[in-house]
Amino acid sequence: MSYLDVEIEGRVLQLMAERGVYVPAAETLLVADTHFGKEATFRNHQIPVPSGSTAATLGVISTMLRTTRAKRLVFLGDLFHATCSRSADVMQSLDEFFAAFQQVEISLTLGNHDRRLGKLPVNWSLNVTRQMELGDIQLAHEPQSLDAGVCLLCCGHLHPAVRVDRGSDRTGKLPCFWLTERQLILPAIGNFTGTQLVHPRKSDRVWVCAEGQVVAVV
Amino acid sequence: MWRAYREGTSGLIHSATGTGKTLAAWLGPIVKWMAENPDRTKWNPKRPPSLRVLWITPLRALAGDTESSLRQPLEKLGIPWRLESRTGDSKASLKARQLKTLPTALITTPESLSLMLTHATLLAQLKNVEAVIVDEWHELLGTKRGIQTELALARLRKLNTNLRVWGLSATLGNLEEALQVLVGREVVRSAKIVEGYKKKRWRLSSLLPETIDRFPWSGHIGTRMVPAVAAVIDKCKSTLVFTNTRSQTEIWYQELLRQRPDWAGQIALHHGSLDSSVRNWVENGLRNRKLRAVVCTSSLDLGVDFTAVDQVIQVGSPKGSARLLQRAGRSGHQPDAVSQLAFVPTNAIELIELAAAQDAIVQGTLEAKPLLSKPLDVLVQHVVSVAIGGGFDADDLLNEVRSAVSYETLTESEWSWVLDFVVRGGASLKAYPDFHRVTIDEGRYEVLQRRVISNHRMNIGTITSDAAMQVKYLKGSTLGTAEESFLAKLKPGERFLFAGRLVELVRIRDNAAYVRRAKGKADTVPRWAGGRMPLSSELSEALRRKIEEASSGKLVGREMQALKGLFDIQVAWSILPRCNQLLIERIRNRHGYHVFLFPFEGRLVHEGMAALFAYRLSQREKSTLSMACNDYGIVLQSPTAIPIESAIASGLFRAEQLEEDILRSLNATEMAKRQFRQIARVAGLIQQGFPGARKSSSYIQANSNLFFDAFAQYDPNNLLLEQSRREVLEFQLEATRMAAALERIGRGELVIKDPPKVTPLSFPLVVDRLRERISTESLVDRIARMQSELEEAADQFRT
Repeated sequence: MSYLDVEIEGRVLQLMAERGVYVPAAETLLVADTHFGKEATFRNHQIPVPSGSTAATLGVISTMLRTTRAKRLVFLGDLFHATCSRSADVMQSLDEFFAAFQQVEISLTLGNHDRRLGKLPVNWSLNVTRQMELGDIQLAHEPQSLDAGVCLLCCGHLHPAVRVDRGSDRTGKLPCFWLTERQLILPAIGNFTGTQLVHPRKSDRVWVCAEGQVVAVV
Repeated sequence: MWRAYREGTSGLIHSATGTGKTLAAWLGPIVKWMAENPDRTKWNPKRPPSLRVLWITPLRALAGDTESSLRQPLEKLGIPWRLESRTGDSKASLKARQLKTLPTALITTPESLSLMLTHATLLAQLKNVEAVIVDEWHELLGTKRGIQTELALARLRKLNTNLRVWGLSATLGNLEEALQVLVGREVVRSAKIVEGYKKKRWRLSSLLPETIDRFPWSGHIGTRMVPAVAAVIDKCKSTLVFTNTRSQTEIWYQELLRQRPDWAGQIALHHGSLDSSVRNWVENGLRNRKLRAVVCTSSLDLGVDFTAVDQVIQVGSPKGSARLLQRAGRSGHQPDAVSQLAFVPTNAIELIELAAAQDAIVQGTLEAKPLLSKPLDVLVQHVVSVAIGGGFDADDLLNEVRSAVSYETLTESEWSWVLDFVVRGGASLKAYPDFHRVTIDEGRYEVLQRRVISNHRMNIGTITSDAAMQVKYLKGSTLGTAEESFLAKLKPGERFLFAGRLVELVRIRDNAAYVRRAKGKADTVPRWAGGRMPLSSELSEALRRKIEEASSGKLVGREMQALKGLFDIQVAWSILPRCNQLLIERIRNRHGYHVFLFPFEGRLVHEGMAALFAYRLSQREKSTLSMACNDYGIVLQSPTAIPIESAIASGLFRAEQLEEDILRSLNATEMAKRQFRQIARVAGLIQQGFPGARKSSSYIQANSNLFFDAFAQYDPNNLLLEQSRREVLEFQLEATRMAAALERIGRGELVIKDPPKVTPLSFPLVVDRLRERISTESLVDRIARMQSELEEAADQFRT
């Protein structure tokens, strides 16, 4: 499992190639835009998509939790894709996940796809909130102006990606971590989610996830 | 033809454009009806006969034209038929009325025909149809729309075993096949190929520049010929100027206006990305003879009613002799008139192409239209359509589908995969409880959910609208569409040519680019993907023969003689290859090592070859190669020497393991993903909706790459993936043609030359900026290198 230590606003964060951020000082793992059950939503609309992506996403998160030995996990919004995402196989995968990580404190900062989240199974110990703070790091779903007293916002929502470009040589879209104006936007971790090209400014910092590594790009 | 029709025969009528095919086909059913209803006093326009004829036209924009030209004979003869159109553009009220009673003759498109098959209530009327006439069959043949038509015809033939099917086609190299696909294997024995009026005379000439450069000029696509072209336009009342791409259309229109400002309002441009109101205006201007000239793309290749423009000018090679002939036929649109075509080369080698095309036309070796074999995406769509339109029994439908020539070889397992895909969402053993697009009730396949029905109807068809964005004035009128990728790169205030005007981008909002008129010079011209045709294999062969003739000093015709100086230099520095030779030229300059290869096989084959060669070279040694291709050859470029001789010795050109090596080469997956876009859309994975309409639900949006990845990971045996790989091999890389080319090279002689300078043949490849880099570096290494190159450049800038 590969990661890159970066210093942002004086805090050290680990940007993980699997698209999560680990905050060592708070022993917390952050992941954004899981969109669990998106494939089931498609099937519900009679568009055939094989299942497997929800379990794969959970597998990646599990691996990160084990390697970092994180005490806390925060989903930065858009937990499920839609109301009809909760098919039997999706719910079973999540049941197994929560059962396996009972000792981890798990939270969700609500995203736009979570508006009709409704009731969750009682055996999931999931702490649901609009936003939260991790020391002086603010956590929320969408980019927004920072609250007083915090030094950094970690969020998702945008599914950011960039292309690396040099003359005639240009890569495809690569999911990225994007730091702009003290907001660190995480790439979407969901296995069956798309990306959106963002256009960083000169003063921004960008790290792409490529072939199991995190690489800083200018 | 009329007797054949009366006797119940099907067939294909072919001839050059503008020789009266339409009327010939149309009179068949009319004459038959008149023979059956001799008593004129009983003809009552208030009680028109029930449905007899379906007329399929490839473009809905042509339906109106077709309707008026079919109406003329009806009116002249006083026939009391009801003649109507039904396309995506038809009014809802008309369509609703037609659902109750279809007219006597209905003009429609392949998409609307498939859509009609989803209405079970129409089947009783469609059963009685006497004839289906497919206009411009050569346009549909070999495309997924053609396949869609073929499946619909199979369905109609099942409903009425005596159905007559007639196709109208331009002359093709494979007319027999064209007929088979149209009428089906069962009927083909009795079907007829009717050759239309063939003594159409034509005159081809080329506009030669005063001096032929030693090197084929390239880049500015020959706009230096503008004054000469303007002079030719000036001589006639009406001219069509064909270019090969939409961008060239925009450029040539501007250049002609700059040359002759007094022609403002008398010349216009026409291409497929312009708004239909703009196109209609231009088409009407042509019809009323109000326009002196129209600069256009293949968008005006079709069309029934552009009677007699005086002449056609073709800018750049048409890349095929059939197309050249067809475009020439746009002028002199009466059977006895002379077609006039003036050819404007955009580089010197194109003159050889023209000479070769003339040879091919004289010898009658016109291009064959390659056919598609059982594309499953179209079949998936058709199966759902039939399930909606009354349902089906699996065995019956299999027999019906196999009666279409393109699906003759459909296997039991492919068929059951298709059924599984629409019933259970895939052949993966798990059945998904919440998925039931098509349901089975006592052996009958049906669709019950209203949402599935309406979604399917909205998405019928095989045309993928590219991620296109509308281009609009701030006031709201629409100019047309351009690719999102192009518009997204523009900054507000940047000026570009569009629809013949200079506009500047104001803002992008709600999937539309808002622009205003601008003054000054354009910063850019939109590039539209696609549209660049590769040199046909027939013309490639003729071209190789022309070059062989030149190598033995034989220069026949004005075009070849004009190139004498260029040939002399080529021979002095290198050679002119004969048909059995492959010329390889090596050059080293400050940009690195270059290897030029000249198979003369067309751009697509060359792209595949370049990827293949790069892959095979990289198997021997890690490297980063950049490459460029055109219709004549390939250049590979590297910062280090390319060991071409030893690579050849160890099988660079071997035809064995071709498919495996191509698929393993780095670009194949990317290409398969691109190909999968259309497949995903046709198979109903991506809901396209009506162009411009708001997407139904943002919750079920995903691009085709995601589908591709999900299938590749979790359902790798999905046959749609296999189809996209096959389509890449056959259509993007022309693997069959490539294999034949490699075998030809293997049999022949290799000639390696080290010319002192870039030769005339090589020069167009040097200036071609469409380079692709093929690299065996890992993505991470590649990013690192790009980063360091960027920093180096910045350092140099500072010092």
